[in-house]
Amino acid sequence: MTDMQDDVRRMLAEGIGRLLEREYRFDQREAMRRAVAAGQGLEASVMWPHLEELGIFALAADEDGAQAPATLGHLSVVAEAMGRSLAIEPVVPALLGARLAALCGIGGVLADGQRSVAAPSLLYGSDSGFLAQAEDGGWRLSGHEDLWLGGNDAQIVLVQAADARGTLRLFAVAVDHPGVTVSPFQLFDGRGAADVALDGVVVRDAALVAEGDVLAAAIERIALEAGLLHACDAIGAMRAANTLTLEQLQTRQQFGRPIGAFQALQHRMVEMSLVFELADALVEQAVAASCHGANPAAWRLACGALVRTALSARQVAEETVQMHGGMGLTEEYPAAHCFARLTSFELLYPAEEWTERFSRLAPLEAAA
Amino acid sequence: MRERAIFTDEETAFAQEVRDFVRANLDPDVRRRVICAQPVSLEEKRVWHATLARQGWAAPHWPVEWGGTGWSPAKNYLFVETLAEEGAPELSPFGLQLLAPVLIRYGTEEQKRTYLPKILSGEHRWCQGFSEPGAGSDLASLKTRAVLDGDEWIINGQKMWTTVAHAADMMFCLVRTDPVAPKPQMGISMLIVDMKATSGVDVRPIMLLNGERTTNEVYFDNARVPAGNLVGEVNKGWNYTRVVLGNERLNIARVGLCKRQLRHLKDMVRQGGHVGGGLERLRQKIAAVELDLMGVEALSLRMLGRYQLGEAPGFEANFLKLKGAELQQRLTRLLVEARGPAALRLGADGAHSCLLKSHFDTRVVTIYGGSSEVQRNIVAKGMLGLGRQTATSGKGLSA
Ligand SMILES: Cc1cc2nc3c(=O)[nH]c(=O)nc-3n(C[C@H](O)[C@H](O)[C@H](O)COP(=O)(O)OP(=O)(O)OC[C@H]3O[C@@H](n4cnc5c(N)ncnc54)[C@H](O)[C@@H]3O)c2cc1C
Repeated sequence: MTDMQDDVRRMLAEGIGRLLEREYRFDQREAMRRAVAAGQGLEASVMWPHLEELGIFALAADEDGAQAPATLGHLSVVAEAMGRSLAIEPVVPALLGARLAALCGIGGVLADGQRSVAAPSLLYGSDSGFLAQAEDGGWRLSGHEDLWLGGNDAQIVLVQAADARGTLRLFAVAVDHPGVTVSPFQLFDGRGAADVALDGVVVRDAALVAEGDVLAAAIERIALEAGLLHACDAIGAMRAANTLTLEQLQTRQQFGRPIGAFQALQHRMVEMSLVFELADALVEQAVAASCHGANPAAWRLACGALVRTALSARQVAEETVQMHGGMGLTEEYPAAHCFARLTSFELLYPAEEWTERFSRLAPLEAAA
Repeated sequence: MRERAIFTDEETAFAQEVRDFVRANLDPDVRRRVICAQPVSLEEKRVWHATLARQGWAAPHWPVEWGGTGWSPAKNYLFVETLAEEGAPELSPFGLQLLAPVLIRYGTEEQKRTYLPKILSGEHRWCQGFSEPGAGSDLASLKTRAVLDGDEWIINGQKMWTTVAHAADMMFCLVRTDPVAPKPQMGISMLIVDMKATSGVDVRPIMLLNGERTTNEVYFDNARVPAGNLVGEVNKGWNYTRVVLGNERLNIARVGLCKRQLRHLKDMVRQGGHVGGGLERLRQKIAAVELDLMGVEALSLRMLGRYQLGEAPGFEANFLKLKGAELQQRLTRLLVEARGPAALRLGADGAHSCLLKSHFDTRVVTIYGGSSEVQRNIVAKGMLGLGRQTATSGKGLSA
């Protein structure tokens, strides 16, 4: 990375850091969580307009910079900050939507204040839930996919749909288009999500965003970037959890001393720090390796980073609650919220599944 | 000599009788919700309590003269585990399991006559005011003060984590009555507080992340209770606490509950409710939990066998608390894994409620009733003699 890009990243980190300190203390975050529970969306967010001002969505949507090596690194800084503050707002989904649009060469169209969210199958690298049928001057789309993070706030959904021969095409469909049903709900961790169903939705050719080699490359790359940005979010949440837990060990007094004086807890706090460092280092390396696009080496590292982050996330989540005692279960204190956020990550990126993907990339037959 | 309880035909038939009773008398919808870890209201629990009370089964372990059954330990064990296995809602333990044995042993005749019948019938709901902001695992450091003023105790201080205090008629609590006692344990007394009739008692909710109000803070501001509300002798409260916390040790691993959860998990997977995880991996994990549960049941039955020979539960109880709590967490976690990301949804998820929420709720089992760390400390010091000269009893010191 060049010095200049280092500077950009540092400025981005500082800008977001200041913003979060000012506009996103835990009580403000909680207000947003309650707003989502009450069925509200981004209109309730104080932080969102400031994030737009910082230019992070424009950065993700920038077509000219779509292949620029620095972009993913910059976005990873944003994702980690969101995890660290347990942000409710769908920042990572919006970044990924913009990123996919940019990779397909339509970033400019969508960036115009429109929030696009990519289908889960694109983000998690699984099979598409949608079918496309050619019609006169357009396409008929049907199917559904569940659990779109941030889907409750989407204005445009990006879906990959297969035709009768299994060929995939990417479509951008406005959520208010006839036949589109977005069913919003909240996750245990407080974030909003939605199920999306397309029931014989007829779109014009203009809705076809990408196909062929361009799409194949974009699909490969967006799944990689989605995994890494979600991992960065988890890294941020782990950092927050470890900071809280360490504080608890230093300040909570029982038996006439801080509970951190008990070796049984010290060693576990050490383990929490250790598994965090492993995940953090791997994710950083995987991000660096993925800056030039998806290739086998990048995927291998990314799988490793996802598996390690999932395992670490679970351990940190459980230990955080346990070492907080009863306080670790309350709504008013962030520990339980860290548990919820980290558990979301490791259920969306199950360690075992990604270990399998990893083993396919690093087969026994190949030398290490 | 039989160290491990093996049930007689009569006992096995009795367990079947209990099973049939639950199926015939418990509202099927309540039963379904218990099995699926969905909320059951206090009112529904009261109805079930009344059903058991009519059958004479609300407090089988009590002495017959106060409404108990005189059953053998084996029958009492089977009764509790069978109810749990069948999906009966758990009755509030505070009056029935925790306070009553203390009152029966140390209470005055008048206290027994006043409180026991209403605990038995379910008319009075009790809460337990032990923990405080500064006194969790280190319960003996509690600070809530009580001073005798004529024929009344004046209470000042704060309790924390007082489950169902907001819906309770009565509380039994620990208070400091001798602040200069040579050891903190020696200056503690147990008092009864009428939650409805006592002024100066302020109950404030503690919300957990599950969004439910189950537990509370309770503030005492010059709350006055009659001198006769002292349980047993002044400054002997710690001894009674050991009775409270040492209670129900035979069922401490909650084998019946674990069996129920295991069955529910298998049902869900068999009916295709699993989404996440490869089926083969899931099978392996379920088998591993089942194996562990067999071990825990074997140890429970060994403890029961020894108890029948007149031996008080010892450190097995600590092992069983540790391992039973771990099993409960593993089982709710496996439900989550089997369901995959859909478990993250708040609110209804088809036939399931939020499975992650119920897993989160289960995190508490390694924290209360003497945390897993405290259990290990007790075994390390008491049983293994590590880090101290003399061994102590195997009972948890924490609410
Ligand atoms: C949902 C809920 C309901 C409850 N209901 C009641 C109730 O009705 N009545 C009541 O009186 N109480 C109740 N409790 C309180 C419960 O008993 C306490 O939470 C428990 O005693 C632990 O205390 P703490 O939460 O203060 O944690 P702490 O004691 O602060 O413990 C924090 C962490 O430090 C560890 N730790 C503490 N000491 C040591 C040590 N010496 N060595 C190693 N590790 C140590 C603990 O294991 C834990 O992991 C309830 C709690 C909860 C969460």
